[in-house]
Amino acid sequence: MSARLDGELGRDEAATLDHHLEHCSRCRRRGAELETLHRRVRVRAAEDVPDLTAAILAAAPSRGRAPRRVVAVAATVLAVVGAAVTLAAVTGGGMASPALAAEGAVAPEPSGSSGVVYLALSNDGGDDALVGASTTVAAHVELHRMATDDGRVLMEPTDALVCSPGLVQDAGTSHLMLRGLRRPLRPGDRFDLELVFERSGRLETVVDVVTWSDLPGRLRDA
Amino acid sequence: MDLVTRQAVAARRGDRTALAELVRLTQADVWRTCAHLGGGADPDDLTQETYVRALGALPRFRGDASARTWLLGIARRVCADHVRRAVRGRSAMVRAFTRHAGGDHAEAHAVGDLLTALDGDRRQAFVLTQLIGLSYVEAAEVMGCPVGTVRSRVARARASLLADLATAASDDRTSGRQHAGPG
Repeated sequence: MSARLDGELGRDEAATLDHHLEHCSRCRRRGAELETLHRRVRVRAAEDVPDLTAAILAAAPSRGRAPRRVVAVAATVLAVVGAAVTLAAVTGGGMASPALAAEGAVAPEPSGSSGVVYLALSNDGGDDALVGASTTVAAHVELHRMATDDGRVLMEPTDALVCSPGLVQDAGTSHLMLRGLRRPLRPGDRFDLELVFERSGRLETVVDVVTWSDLPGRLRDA
Repeated sequence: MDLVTRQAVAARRGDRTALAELVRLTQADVWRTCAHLGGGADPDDLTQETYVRALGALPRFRGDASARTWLLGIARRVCADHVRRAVRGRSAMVRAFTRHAGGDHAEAHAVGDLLTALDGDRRQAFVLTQLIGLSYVEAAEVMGCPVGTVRSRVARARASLLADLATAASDDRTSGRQHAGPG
């Protein structure tokens, strides 16, 4: 019965079990207890898991050296709702003009054909959504967001990042993926990134390229 | 090849962005495994140590097995190295769950309390299949044991939990306390 709860029972085994349960009220009662326990364990608060990516990557060696430990400093909590983090209750309604700002855009030095950009977004006005981005340094830019799947946190590509009124989103919550880099990016480089919003239209921001070891500090300050 | 494994293979070749993606895709599972199996040690530390070890082992990762179970196997061994019997499981578990957020953790506490009664192999099997959501086959890979062993450990864990709940309920009846028992 335990295996059945987990969907791990073979068909023949299931048939044998069902046959037994027809005659055995003691086992049926036991089955009911197990199911109650099962529901209780499953229905749990989604645990807020800290985002340690930056600290982990900062500790990773670039070539061949043994990794060293870095005290985990990233305090950004992964948002466990599907869209971007919203802080304030809406007053004045979502139809007011959006007032979006992007800052602190930072890209850790890529080593392959893909890169990642972290940036902080805020919206002091009405509803909007980030629907795309482009840059001359890469062929495409993908939006990625946090999603949960049965309590597990995943990163997934998305068509739009909702930017609700009162949004304040730390750099590091959602991010942009650069695909098909057209030139190498080195720490100290800067490049233009154009963000496209559904209502606000185009917004330009500048991205700083940094080392992986500098990334945690930059995300903290953003 | 699933996404996580693809990222691991790219990371093995030196792609730092793929490494960052690998961490992002897996850290929730690794952190929760460390929170439940770490015997009260700080899950942040155990998580970091897991990835440090994984980075060291990455050159030997063959990519023909799932990177997720590979990583969770490392996490399990990191936790086993840190488990100390002297630590009081309940308070450490509650600390670990409440450290990082300000939400309602009543249910998380309740589950944490439930699990403190389990230890060793039954706890591992139960946590990996019920809280991390691995199949019995995946859990067997992580634990390095046959699938049938996972099945029996999970069943014994459930039996143990039900027995503890029944004991707690009857204790409370005796003392006149209210208790949120099963059912």
